[in-house]
Amino acid sequence: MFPMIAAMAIAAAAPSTPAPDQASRWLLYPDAQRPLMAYVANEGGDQLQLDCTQTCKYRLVLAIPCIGGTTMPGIANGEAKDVPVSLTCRRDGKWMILDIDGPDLGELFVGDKIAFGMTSPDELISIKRFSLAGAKEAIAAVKAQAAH
Amino acid sequence: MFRTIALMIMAVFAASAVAAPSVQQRTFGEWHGDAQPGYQNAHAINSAGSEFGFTCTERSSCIYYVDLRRDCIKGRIYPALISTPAGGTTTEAFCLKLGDRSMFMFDHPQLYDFLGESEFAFGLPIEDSQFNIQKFSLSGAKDAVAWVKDQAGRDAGSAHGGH
Repeated sequence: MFPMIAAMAIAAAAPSTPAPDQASRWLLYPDAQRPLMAYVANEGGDQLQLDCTQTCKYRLVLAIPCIGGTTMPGIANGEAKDVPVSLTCRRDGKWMILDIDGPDLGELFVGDKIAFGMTSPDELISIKRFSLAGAKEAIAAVKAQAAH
Repeated sequence: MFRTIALMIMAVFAASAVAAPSVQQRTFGEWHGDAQPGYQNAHAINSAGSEFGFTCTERSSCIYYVDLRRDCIKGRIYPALISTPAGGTTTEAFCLKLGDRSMFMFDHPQLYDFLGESEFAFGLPIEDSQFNIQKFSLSGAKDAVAWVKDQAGRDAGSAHGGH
């Protein structure tokens, strides 16, 4: 339950139209001293998170609809490589949370941006792009806290 | 398997460049079909000039392809997204170079069923964390592909002494 509450808290904390600095840098939740999550928001209000409240897991929090329990195929496209991923939807209030399963995404965190392409009933293919500015530091901090 | 079919397809497209007197042409909605001995093809071209098609060799080896009018690395297998209003999936697309054309060859068990939908999207991850997405009409696609398969079967039959 706690991760879901935390995710909701993060989602609620993120403004629907993030300020430019928030839309371009990774942030820590709840604080930098004992971070449980690292996340970044894009200009559309979507988020990419690394959640280490239990086991560390990457996920997308999106403003687009998905059907709870369904799995969507997708591709994660970094500047160095691209890999197929599986995105499992679980609804959390109005937020659509997609757990990302696939190869270690850490290898994709190279360069300025990462993009996720996924099948979508309305757009057919939906693309979500996120900044990687500050990602390595934020992810390392969360993983260090999780290993603590 | 991709490479074997790709080599056959290369020969097929090369042969198609020489117009044969016995060519058959059919139109199915937005799809256009051509059939001649050793070459059967159906395709649709979208407003961006990209092409989505289905082609068979004389041995009835058939495969789907897209020509995105962009370069690819010959022989490389790319991950790709294919999607329709009824659903989608990921697949692998093999880069085939034919003269100045770069074609992505692919197949998927669900693809024929998808052809009954209205629209098809092909998404390819490209450089700078971007995707090239092209959409194509599927109006007539299922009938066109069935016609190509039928023509390829007849062609294979005649090539092996059948009627």
